[in-house]
Amino acid sequence: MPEDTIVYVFQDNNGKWLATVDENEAHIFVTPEFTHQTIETMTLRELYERDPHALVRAREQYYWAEDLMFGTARGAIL
Amino acid sequence: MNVIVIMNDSLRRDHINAYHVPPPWPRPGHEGEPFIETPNLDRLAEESAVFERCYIASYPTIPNRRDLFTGRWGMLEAGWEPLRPHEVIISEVLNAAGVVTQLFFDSLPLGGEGYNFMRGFQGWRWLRGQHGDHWVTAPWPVKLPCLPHQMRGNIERMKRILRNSYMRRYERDYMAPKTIAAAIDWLEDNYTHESFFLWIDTWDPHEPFDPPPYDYARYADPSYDGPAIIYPQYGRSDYLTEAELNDIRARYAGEVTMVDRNVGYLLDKIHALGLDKNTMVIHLTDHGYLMGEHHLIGKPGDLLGNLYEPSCHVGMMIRHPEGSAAGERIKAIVQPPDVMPTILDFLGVPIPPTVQGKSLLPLMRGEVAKLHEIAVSGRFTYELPEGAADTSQEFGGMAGSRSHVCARTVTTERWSYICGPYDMPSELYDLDSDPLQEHNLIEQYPQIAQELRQRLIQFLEDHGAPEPGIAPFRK
Repeated sequence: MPEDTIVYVFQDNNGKWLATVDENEAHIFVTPEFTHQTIETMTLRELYERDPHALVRAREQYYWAEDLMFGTARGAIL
Repeated sequence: MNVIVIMNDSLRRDHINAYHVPPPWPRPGHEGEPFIETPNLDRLAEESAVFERCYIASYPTIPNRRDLFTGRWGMLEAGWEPLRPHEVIISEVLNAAGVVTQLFFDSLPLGGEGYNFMRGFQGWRWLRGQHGDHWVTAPWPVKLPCLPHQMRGNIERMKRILRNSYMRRYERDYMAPKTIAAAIDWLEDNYTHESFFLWIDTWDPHEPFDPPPYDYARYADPSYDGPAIIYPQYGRSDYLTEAELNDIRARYAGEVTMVDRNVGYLLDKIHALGLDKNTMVIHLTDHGYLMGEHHLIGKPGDLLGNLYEPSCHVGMMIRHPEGSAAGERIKAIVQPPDVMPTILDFLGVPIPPTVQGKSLLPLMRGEVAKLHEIAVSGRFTYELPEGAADTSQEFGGMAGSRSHVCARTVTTERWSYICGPYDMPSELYDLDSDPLQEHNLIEQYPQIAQELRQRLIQFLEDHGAPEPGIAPFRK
């Protein structure tokens, strides 16, 4: 995934950084149960620099930011 | 003579006691208790040939059923797609030979969206309501059991899953019990046939992990008060807390015990009808399921889709009515394409030339020590046939890659080599010393890796893979 891909970032109640590549999806995920209601917009690289193991939900699964920064797209599941 | 195949989807090998695999994780709150309880499959194992090195070929559900129905390594030539009209399948071959054929299934993809795996069976019954089956539409007040970001699929599909199970009250209302009960009824009506072939296909213990409460309680941490993540999102698992992951494991184990108990009812009926004297019973699954190994959960794909042992090393047992290899542990490598020729061999039906697998009967009789030097497992290559509809998205992207070849896992008696196509990295594990695959030896043993890569290429060539399915592995 290109490092300048825009991701929508939020934090769960355990302090874990999560992100999606779909802004609408991020709004669905940040439910009232979340202590932090903020959704930040940043690039994949910026997220990776914040936390290489931040979780990015894309193509129907969670990746670490570092997976997407350094992996090739071969065999993508769409 | 008859054959009964019992397929329980997504059943990890280490969740059947008979395979003697050490518990893969602790069960908080249940220290000192059995890791898993599968007394019925264990008793079947005592009477069966237990195959200790069964490795899946095509992954996951639909590609596996194609392998089983055709006796071929389907991932080399077909995608997650309906059976193709020209494919020679076991139900049709047996029909032509005069065998009565019957299928019971609740495994949604077999019947949904035109997949047509009922083809060729004289009788079939699809038990409705499993998973996201388009079945119940009533406006019942279903409530998401966990946060949306923790679950796989979209909210609408999850609500459909919840509606389908909303009216359950007794165990008989659960899917595996329903499907197996229907098969038991069929046996009472049909056991006198001269020869029958019965395939029973349960989606359980696949997600949603929602076993009866008593089976869940058998494994759940009593102190857990978190969400019920019955269908976790795939991929990296650390969006889950350790307690949440543990609870998912407990839910899964509860599913397994429910399945085992109902398989036991079936085995009892087989005995009651006297069918154990003339009926081969084959117990199968299609793949495992990652539960935190390699920081992964579920059946991830793409960069995370390498098939490690928990996904591709599965159980298989065959009870021969004459006791062939009963109670024996067969260490030879076997794969799902071997099932169809085994059944045909047992029933005395000629094996069509399209079949690539080999009958397991010579192994069971001790006439040969091995059938395959290597096992080859992999997610299929997804390339839609000309003009075919893309129905794969119904299953949440499980279709795999589009026009790309995924990594293949090559397993020998000692090594597990995950061969990356294109520029994807490969991995090598010594299963003798590292069965949990925690130490990638690819740098230490490049010559072993190269040899296994060559054996993979030879296998692909020998099994008719098209060149685009081989070229990404040539380096």
